[in-house]
Order: sequence, then C-alpha cells, then structure tokens
Amino acid sequence: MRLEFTPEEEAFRQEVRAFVEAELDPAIRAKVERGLRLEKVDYVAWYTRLHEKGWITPGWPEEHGGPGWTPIQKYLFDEETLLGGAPRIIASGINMLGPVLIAFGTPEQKEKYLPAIRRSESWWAQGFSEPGSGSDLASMRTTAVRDGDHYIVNGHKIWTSYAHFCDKLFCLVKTDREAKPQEGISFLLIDLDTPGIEVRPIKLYEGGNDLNEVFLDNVRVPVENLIGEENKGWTYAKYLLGHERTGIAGIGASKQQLLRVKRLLAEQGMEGEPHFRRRVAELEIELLALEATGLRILGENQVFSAPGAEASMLKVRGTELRQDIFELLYEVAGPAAIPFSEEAMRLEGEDPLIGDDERASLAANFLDSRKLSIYGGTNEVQRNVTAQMLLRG
Amino acid sequence: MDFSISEEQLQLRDAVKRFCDGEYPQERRGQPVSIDRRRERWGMMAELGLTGLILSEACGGSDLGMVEQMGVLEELGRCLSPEPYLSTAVISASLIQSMGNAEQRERWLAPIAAGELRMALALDEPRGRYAYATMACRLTPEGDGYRLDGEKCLVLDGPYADAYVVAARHEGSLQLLVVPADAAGLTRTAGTTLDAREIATLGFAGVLVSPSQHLAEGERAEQALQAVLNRASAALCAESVGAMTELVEQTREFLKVRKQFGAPLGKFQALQHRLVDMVIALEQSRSMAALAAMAVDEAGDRKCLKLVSAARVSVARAARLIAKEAVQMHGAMGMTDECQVGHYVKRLMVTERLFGDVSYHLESFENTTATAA
Ligand SMILES: Cc1cc2nc3c(=O)[nH]c(=O)nc-3n(C[C@H](O)[C@H](O)[C@H](O)COP(=O)(O)OP(=O)(O)OC[C@H]3O[C@@H](n4cnc5c(N)ncnc54)[C@H](O)[C@@H]3O)c2cc1C
Repeated sequence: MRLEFTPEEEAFRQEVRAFVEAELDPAIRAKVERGLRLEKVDYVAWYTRLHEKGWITPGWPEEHGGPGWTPIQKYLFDEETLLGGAPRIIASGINMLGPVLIAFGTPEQKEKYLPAIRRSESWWAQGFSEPGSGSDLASMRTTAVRDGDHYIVNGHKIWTSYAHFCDKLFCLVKTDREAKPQEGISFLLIDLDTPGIEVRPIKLYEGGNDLNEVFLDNVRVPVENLIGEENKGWTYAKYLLGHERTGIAGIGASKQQLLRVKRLLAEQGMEGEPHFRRRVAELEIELLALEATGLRILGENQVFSAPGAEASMLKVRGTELRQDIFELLYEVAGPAAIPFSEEAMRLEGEDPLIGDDERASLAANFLDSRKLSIYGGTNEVQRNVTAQMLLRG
Repeated sequence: MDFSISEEQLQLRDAVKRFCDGEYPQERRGQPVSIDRRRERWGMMAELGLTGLILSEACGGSDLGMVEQMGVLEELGRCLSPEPYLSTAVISASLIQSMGNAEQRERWLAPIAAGELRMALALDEPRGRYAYATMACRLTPEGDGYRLDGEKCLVLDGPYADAYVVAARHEGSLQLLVVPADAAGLTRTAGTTLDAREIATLGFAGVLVSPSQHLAEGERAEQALQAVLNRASAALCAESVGAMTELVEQTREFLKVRKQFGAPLGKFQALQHRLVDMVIALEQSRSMAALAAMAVDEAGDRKCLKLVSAARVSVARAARLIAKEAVQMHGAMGMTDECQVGHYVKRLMVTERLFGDVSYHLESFENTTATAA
C-alpha cells in the first residue's frame, strides 16, 4: 500500500491536465461548467481532439486503437478530463458497442465499424429498453424474423439516448419467442436510415430532449449485422453493461460539481456560511470514501464482501452522491431557482430575468440528476443484484 | 388543540373540489392556458366566493379565516392551478384589508371580491436573498407624496396584475404602497417560472405615489409585512400539501398498474416501505399546514412566526422526499414532460423558494425560540 500516486502517474495526470487546458474550447468548457445544454458539434469537437491525440478509446485494446493505459491511468484520465470541464463521453459506440464488437464481432464488422467510431463519424444509439420492458429487460417484445439473408424487425424502443445525434442503433431483438426470455434474444446492428424506422423525440421535465422513441416497422436488416450467434444476445448485452467499470462511480464529475458549489458560494459571498461549509465538508468526505473504494478495487488481493457486485455498489454510491451534490447546488441557488427559461440553458441571448446568472441552470440540473439512479440499471435493480449475490447458496 | 373540520368548512372544500375537477382536467395540468380562459376562470372563482373569502362582508367578502382558505389552497395545489389566488386573494387582500383606510378598501377590495382585479406583491429584489430588511427600492419626497425608484423581481403573477403592493423604504422606514400597473414610469418584463407560471421584473423610474396610495409605514408596515409573509407561508404549505397528495396518489396508482418481472411494482417490498415513508411525510405535512393556518388566525406575532416557519421547513423536507421518490418509482417515465409527476415536482420546487427557503425559515425559527427563552 502507498498513499501517493507514483511520480510517473503524477506526470501522466499533469500531461492530461495540460492537454485539456490547451485543447478544450473555452466556450464548451463554460457550458459544461455551468450545466448548460451541449450540441452534437460540441461533443464532436472535443472527441476529435481526443482522437487526434490517440485518447478517444482508453478502454479499447491497443491493436484497436486504445492507448494501452493501466487502470490507474484510465482512472486519472477520467478524473482530469471531467475536472477540467470536458464533455462526457456520451457516444455509446465508444463505451458500449466498441468493447462488444472487439470481443464478439467478426473481422469484417470490426473493420467496418471501429475506425468510424473512433473518428466520431459514426454515432451509435442503444436500443434496449421498451415501453413494457425497463428493469425487466428480458421481457422485451421487439422481434426479428429471418427472411432469406435479412431479418425483418418490428417493435418499439424507448428512452433511446441521443438517437437524434446517431446514424446507427445497436438493438436487442427477440429471435425466438418460444425460448425462455433470456435465451431468445439476439444483438443486431441497424442503420437508422433504413426504411421503416422513425425516431421521435421525448420532451423531458427539465426541458431537455436527449431521449427518443424508435419505432421499427418491417425494417430489413442484413444478417451479417448480427453480433455473434443468434439467441446469444443476452450474453453480449450483459458483457456490455458490465464493461464500464472505472467510470461508473463518476468521481471526476462529482469533484467537478463540488468545485462548482464552492465557486457559486464564493461568488455570492456565502463561502463562510456554517450550514453550507458543513454540507460541503460532509460531501467531500463521502467523495473521498468513494474514491478510495474505487481505487482499492484496482489494487491487488483485495477482499470484497460481495465479489462480482463491486460495480453495482460503485454505481449506487456514486450516483447517489452525485445527486446529493446536485441537490446542494439547488440549495445554493436560493430564490434564483424560481425563474426558468430555455434560452438561459443554451447560453443564447440573455434572459432579462436571469441575465448571465449561472444559478439559472441549477434547478434544471437537479431535476436532470434524478436520471442517475434510473439509467444504467436502476439503483433498486443494482441493490437486488447485490443482495442476491450476498444471500445465495 | 382541535384539528376538527366543521361542516361548513367541509362544504366549502367540496365546492372547491368540484370546481377544480371541472376546470383543471388531469391531462391539462401544467400545460399553458390562454389568458382569456384564465380571466373567465377567475370570474368563476369570484362567483364561488373564493376571491373574497377573507374579506369583510362590506367589501363583498365572506369574512372567513386562514383555516377556511387552507382548504381552498389545498385544492388549487392539487390541481396545479396557475391562477393568481395567493397573490391576490391571500396576500394583497389581507394587506389592504388590515392596513388600508376606508377609501382604499373600497377602491381595491370590492373589485377583488368581484373577480375584476388581480394584484401581486412586489417584494423581492435582485440583490440578496430574501433580504427584506435591506431593500434598495427607495422613496423620495415629491409634492405631497413620493417618487419611487428601484427594481423588484420574482413578482409572482406579475405580468398580468392590474396593480401591485410594493414594499420600499424612505430613510430606513418601510413603506407599503399600492401602485397600479399602468403608472407612468413603471416597466414590467414578463418571464416564466420553473413550473411554467408567470413572474415579472418591475422597474420603477420616478413613479409618482400619492398619499392615497400609502397603506402603512414604519413599525406598522414592518408588522404588516411580517404578518402577510406568515399568511403567505401558511398558504404555500397548504398548496404544497395538495400537490403532495396528488404525487403520492399517482405513485400509489402507478405501483399498482405498472408490471415488471411479472408482478405489479407494488409487490416489491423495497418500494412498499418507501411508499409508506412518503405517506408519513404527507400526513405530517397536512398536520403542519393546519397548525400554520390556525396560527395565522389565532396566534400572536411571535408564536405565529415560529409555527409558520416550522411548517415551511417541515413541509419543504417532506415535499423533497416525496418528489424524489415519485420520480424514481416512475422510472424514466417520471422524467418526461408528458407525465404529470414532473409538473408537480416543479410546482413543489418553486413553492419551496417563495418568500423564504429552508435556510431562511430555519433561521427565523431559531430566532423566535432563542429570544423566547
Ligand atoms: C436519462 C435516461 C437515459 C436512458 N438511455 C437509454 C438508452 O440509451 N437506451 C436504452 O435502452 N435505455 C435507456 N434508458 C432506459 C433505462 O434503462 C430504464 O429507464 C431503466 O432500465 C428502468 O426502466 P423503466 O424506466 O421502465 O422503469 P421500471 O422498470 O418500470 O421501474 C420503475 C421503478 O420500479 C423499480 N423496480 C423495478 N423492478 C423492481 C424490483 N424488482 N424491485 C425493486 N424495485 C423495482 C425501478 O427501480 C424503478 O424505480 C434511459 C433512461 C434514462 C432515464
């Protein structure tokens, strides 16, 4: 055990920090730091910088364009980029589909899709959830029926993040309706401009529209777009959902928002207020405990009470801590949480009621943060999974 | 202490409930409504005797108290009513009734009871949070009256109000005035709240105020302002209870109908226990809102402030818990604009911040208990 990172690791951290400082467009950083809405061009601008540097896919093996970092390096990279105000990696191709293609894709599929993902030329949406199948994903009903060298896909996907930014969809479909739920599912790659697909935006309660519905009506998908074997899709989906480990606790994002709390308090001359000082200190301690746990998982010969459930526990604690920080930000807003305007969320024009007051976004950010305990497997489901591991046998 | 509700109070609640169920159908709640429709509704509320509920009979009112008004406000909160009831029929009505002279009461109150006038309170200012003791809006003597300069913000129901009750200072002395919306030198900028209601920023540039527009000054004005803030807080608690009732109800219903893993969500004990916690929070809020309403009707200044502040803190905490749980238990659906849950959550979030937030009311509670010892 050693308290500090090694000098090499510290040097790496400095390198990432300097890169973010030099390469991130200040206008994008300002939007991220103020919790405002980002456009696709903002994400692409940053991802392109990362790609040029060879840093866009830290989770991929080197032969597919990964940088070959240690887990600690990946961890430091996540933290430094988020802390520096860089946009998150929302492109599901990078964090979700890429690893699945690398593990289970054919050489042709890898060749065709991986480079385009790295270059941000191709954006993938995740088509898992359906209106009747959220937590109980395996109950889904979208079907794919074989017809010569195509599948005919019919169904309705929902909550599809950023589908309006995307040209492609990776999708779970039922290929065997007779089999047990988990055993009749396949993993298909679908071009979003195939005839029969309609993407409809969903308006969210905080005014955003990151989510969509995707309707599939007799969509013809070539069989070579199947990942792995037919009816084995559930295995690939589980691999995908379990793959993202280091980022799951969102430590960099929490640190960034805590900095924001302090900055806002200082701007209002409230940094000395006992109530807020206490709350910040409490959350910083919570964050330290989470960070220590995230790093301990990366260490060797560790003992865990629920082996295999580490990711679930990090997800639960990490998201709930981040929600507490967003709730504190809404507290910090005081009466400035009353007015709201979409213009103020977009840094366009100036709302005379809000002006350039950053506090205008805090209520909306708090509302948005409720998603953290719903997506990526709800926190109830994560707790169920962990409890099952603890109590089985 | 007696929390019993009288037969007359029950009848009033029923009448308001019928009005609300007819006027605010479930699927339209939280959606924008035309201003003409809103005027029509305001007239209907007057006919039911709601706008003049606490006004004297001489002004066309019913001479009832906060306890009766609580029932009305609870129903309006339950239906997310965007009408300026709090601003006009609670705040402005009570201020003019208690502070105004005969002429002022005649001029402003009869039209309120008749549903012909909408008013709003211009209190908050851009600098400071709820810094009512250090307002920057100022009066300078001019002729036999004053000129008024400064800026007010977060004026709930401000864009369509016909007149404002404005708080300003002259050499440190608080003054409460009535200013018509068409006064020369008054500019208003309309905006929306998080829960899609209307607020305004008001600019006063040398607005002339005649003695007939003066409601109160000095110590008398300070007391009147505190009293009306207490009343507004009790009203906000009642509104919140209405909104929370509906959120709990919708969540309970959702747990019964939404199925996952082959069973209604309500079968999962992890959710059952949390639904119970929501109900406990709701019931305590109902009690605290009643306590606050009784305090406004019966208690002396200090006790009233103490109980009302306690109610604001307690109701805000309960509302936060209920709001977060309602969203979580609805899953992704709970975060959509289409689902009612979000509209209720936003109403509660705005209500929590009107006329003092949790920090403000905790502090005022601490102050009343510290000085009482
Ligand atoms: C912002 C956002 C982005 C998303 N992006 C995507 C995407 O890109 N692609 C995609 O496919 N999906 C996406 N989703 C969907 C997400 O995966 C689902 O919302 C999630 O799986 C929950 O499903 P549900 O919303 O249908 O809620 P439900 O499953 O109906 O659950 C409702 C509530 O009941 C609880 N519950 C359910 N079962 C149990 C149980 N057994 N025990 C205890 N509690 C239980 C849940 O935890 C939840 O609180 C996104 C969701 C959000 C909010």
